[in-house]
Amino acid sequence: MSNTDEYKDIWVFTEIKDHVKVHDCALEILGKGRDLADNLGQKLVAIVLALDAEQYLPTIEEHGVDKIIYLSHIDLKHYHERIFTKLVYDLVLKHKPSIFLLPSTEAGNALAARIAFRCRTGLVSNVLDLELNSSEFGANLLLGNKPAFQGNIRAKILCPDTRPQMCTISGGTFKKKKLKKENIEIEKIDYDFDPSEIKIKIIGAPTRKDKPSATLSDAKFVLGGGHGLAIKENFQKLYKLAKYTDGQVGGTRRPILDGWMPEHLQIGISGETIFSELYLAFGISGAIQHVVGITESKTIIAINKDPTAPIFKVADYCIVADAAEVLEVLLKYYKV
Amino acid sequence: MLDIFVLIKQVPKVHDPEVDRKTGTIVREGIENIINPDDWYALELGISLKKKYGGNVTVVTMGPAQAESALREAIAMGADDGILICDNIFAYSDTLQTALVLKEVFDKIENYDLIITGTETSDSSTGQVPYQLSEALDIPLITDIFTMEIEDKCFKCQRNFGHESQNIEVDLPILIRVGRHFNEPRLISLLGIKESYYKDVKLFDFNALNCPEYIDGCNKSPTKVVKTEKFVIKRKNEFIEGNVNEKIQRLIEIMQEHRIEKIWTGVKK
Amino acid sequence: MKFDLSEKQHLVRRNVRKFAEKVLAPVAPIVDKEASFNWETAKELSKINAWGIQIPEKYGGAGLNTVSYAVTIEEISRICASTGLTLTVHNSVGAFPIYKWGTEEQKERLLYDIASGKKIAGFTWTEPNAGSDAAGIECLAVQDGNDFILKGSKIFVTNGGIGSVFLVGSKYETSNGEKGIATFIVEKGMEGYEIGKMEDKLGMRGNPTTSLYFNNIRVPKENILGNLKDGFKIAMQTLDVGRIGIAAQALGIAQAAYEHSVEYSKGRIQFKRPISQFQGVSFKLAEMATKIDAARLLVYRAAYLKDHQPNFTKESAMCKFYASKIARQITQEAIQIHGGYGYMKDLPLERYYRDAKVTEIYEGTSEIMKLIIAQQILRGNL
Repeated sequence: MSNTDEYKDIWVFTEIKDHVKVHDCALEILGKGRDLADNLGQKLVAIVLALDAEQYLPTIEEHGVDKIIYLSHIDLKHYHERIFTKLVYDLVLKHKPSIFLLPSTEAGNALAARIAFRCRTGLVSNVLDLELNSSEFGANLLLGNKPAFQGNIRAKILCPDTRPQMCTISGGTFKKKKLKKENIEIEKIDYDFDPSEIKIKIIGAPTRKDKPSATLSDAKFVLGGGHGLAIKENFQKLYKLAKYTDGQVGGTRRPILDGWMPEHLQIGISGETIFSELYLAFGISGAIQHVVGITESKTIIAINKDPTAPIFKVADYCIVADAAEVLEVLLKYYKV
Repeated sequence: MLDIFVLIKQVPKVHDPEVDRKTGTIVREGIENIINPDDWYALELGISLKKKYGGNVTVVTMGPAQAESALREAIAMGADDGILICDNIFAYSDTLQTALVLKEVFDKIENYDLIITGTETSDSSTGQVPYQLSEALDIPLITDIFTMEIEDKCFKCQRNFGHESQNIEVDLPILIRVGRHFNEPRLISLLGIKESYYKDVKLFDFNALNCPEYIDGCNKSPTKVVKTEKFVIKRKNEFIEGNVNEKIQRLIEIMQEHRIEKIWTGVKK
Repeated sequence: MKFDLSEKQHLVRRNVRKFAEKVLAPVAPIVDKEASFNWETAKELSKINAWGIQIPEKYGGAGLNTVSYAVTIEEISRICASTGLTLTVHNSVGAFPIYKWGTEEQKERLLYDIASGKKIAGFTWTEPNAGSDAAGIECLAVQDGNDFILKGSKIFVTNGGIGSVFLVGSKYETSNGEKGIATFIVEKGMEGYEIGKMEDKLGMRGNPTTSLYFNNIRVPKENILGNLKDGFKIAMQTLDVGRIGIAAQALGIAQAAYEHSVEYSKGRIQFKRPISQFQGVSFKLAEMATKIDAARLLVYRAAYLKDHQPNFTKESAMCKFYASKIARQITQEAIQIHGGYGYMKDLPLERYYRDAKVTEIYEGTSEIMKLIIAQQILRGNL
């Protein structure tokens, strides 16, 4: 992996979500990939591994790709550590991409880390921005802008000497680009995997009852509930509003201690960080322990009846009103 | 009887650090160093498994000399001994290098049944080491577990994976990544702290390991940090005026600008 | 000279703080309001060896040094001063004398249960007519065969309502007419042992302080602590040790009030800015910080000396005198910084203020502290 000039093209792991559709995050990354490809004069390639992968190709073709490499096989129905890692690594070895971008999902993160290891290359995870950079390290290197220390620090990282340059990106970071290139190259790869390599024996695998794909850190729209909502009924309203608007519910420590919300919905220093496009904070005072989890949200609207609540300092829009009352009206508006 | 290893990291206890303008790195002087918050759950799992099945818990960390205090704290909680992987050459290692060094350490240890880690570190939060170590040692990584049992060196558990809830069996050795709040880490007693200083902490430096693949130091790390800066988001802080209804109307407008629409029955947006 | 805790002591601070914030914090306001003692938290305290902080490991304790002890009491008191009081009296003036002057038989018999918290210990001296005038006690133990028959009463006995092993200072008379002051070990369950009503106190309400009545208790010779005639000396030396714990307690209370004040002043907006930006407030914070730091250095120094030299009377009196004074001052200023909110029971400031006061009184009043310091100075111990 020493001669970096041999490596070309921008690859995007185009994950299929719930074996139903192309993951939105992957399409968004293709959007950014298109910019990078144009700047470098190289190709944007989508990598697809799925069962009946053909059905997803039309959608992918509309999002700016020059080429699609795909495998289709029953074993690819669900993400599997060993299978996907081996197959994708083989592709990387053969085709030598310069840049490889993956969505920051359960599968994407696992695959990215493993491929980076096998290639002995660097991986910058959860980048908030990507650009091409020229410096003493080299020309036109991929620079990832990554948060650390709960977002209070930004680190700019590049990978000058090894290939591919790898990054994972969360949903909502980039925008999809609707563009269909002429003469898109489609390459189908044969499935080649020895099942005896699998060490984990699956005895039974029913579908989960909770919605694993709708985690807080993936959610585009989050509704947060705090102490100001006070009673159980108001939290039930919050859950309802989330359901009507396809949002995710999160909260502060207090409602969890009171039992209105389960532990895993906590947003903040000892809970989740959200990367939403929009965050609505209902009755949340804005203690630092919670605020560190929301600063990555693009827009924050806070509703609290106390005009001096610290949450208003970190909000884009500030509404001084009773959170429960506002919730009630929104519920009426959004109810189907 | 299980040989259990728990990987921990010492991190600075700060969520909003200062950046040294000259070196471009985080200022660590005067900041208390603590065990990474997610690692407590890993330690608690290791100690409970040892209590249940018998065996030994060794806590392992890679860091500067002061990281030994993290090992002492982990031993105070109930681990039996520690390994400190420390050498100037290992400074500023990224996750790839960390995984490669850990591979050397575990190759030298030879016998291990379980390697347990937490989810991510509070400073770099990459979450990559468990996957990369799984590759390096070629052992399975199991995550998102909710019940588990070990019988005759076979690990049986129920775990979430994608949108499945799987019942799986896999032979040891394996790597386990423990989720946040998976368990309630036990409190550390004063006697535990006193006794931890009687227990063994082994030092592994560069010479103690083979490191054939090791790319030494910050200069050869595949990823390079070219700039570190403090980041403060500037928010609009726009107070919406009017009476309650007017405020709510404006709120709905903003929500619509963000494409938050009603979900019509039967058809998702 | 190194002005920092050792690595081990940092671990102690961090983990006792974690324990206190997790286990004691929810209970602290309740034991204060109800003037109750929480046996559940007593069990949790056993788990972290808080009942035997310095008792050697061979008797079931944690065997830590005195600086670690001071750190433990400070961190506990920062969250719940009542628990801090229970523990410091139990450890310093209950368990310590048995360890220092007890026979091997007494240590074997008593220290395990004390270290585990199964038996809570205490130290009684004060009587209705004998406070600062310590030698003026009236309890009397008259020899009968090998035993002594003890009669009298003690008031304001910390841990009186929950303790089962008490060191009692009493006048004595032997069969051959020898008189003096002795320290006896009196145990609950001895015939004639009676616990009086619980006092209704201004602060430290989570610690059950009662009177104890000794109605002709037969104290066997196995329960005499040290040499019979050394009772007063034992008591005075015990108090030297106890004062370090009390000072650590006061330090914890002051620290809590100070932290609250800093937090509050940064968040409270008046005249369009946080009140911390006004010198009237920030200067108060600066004084608080300085006083606490000075007190902390005095406490740690006294704790260090206790482990390294036989005489630390002056230093221990100094640290108690100073720490208790600044605790009272700081808790008062803390309420002032919080304004009206500080006066309300919704916030813990008023509890800190009520708890702090007694640290200037028990185990030797501040006036007695000054007396002791003056005596030491005038004796040449400058």
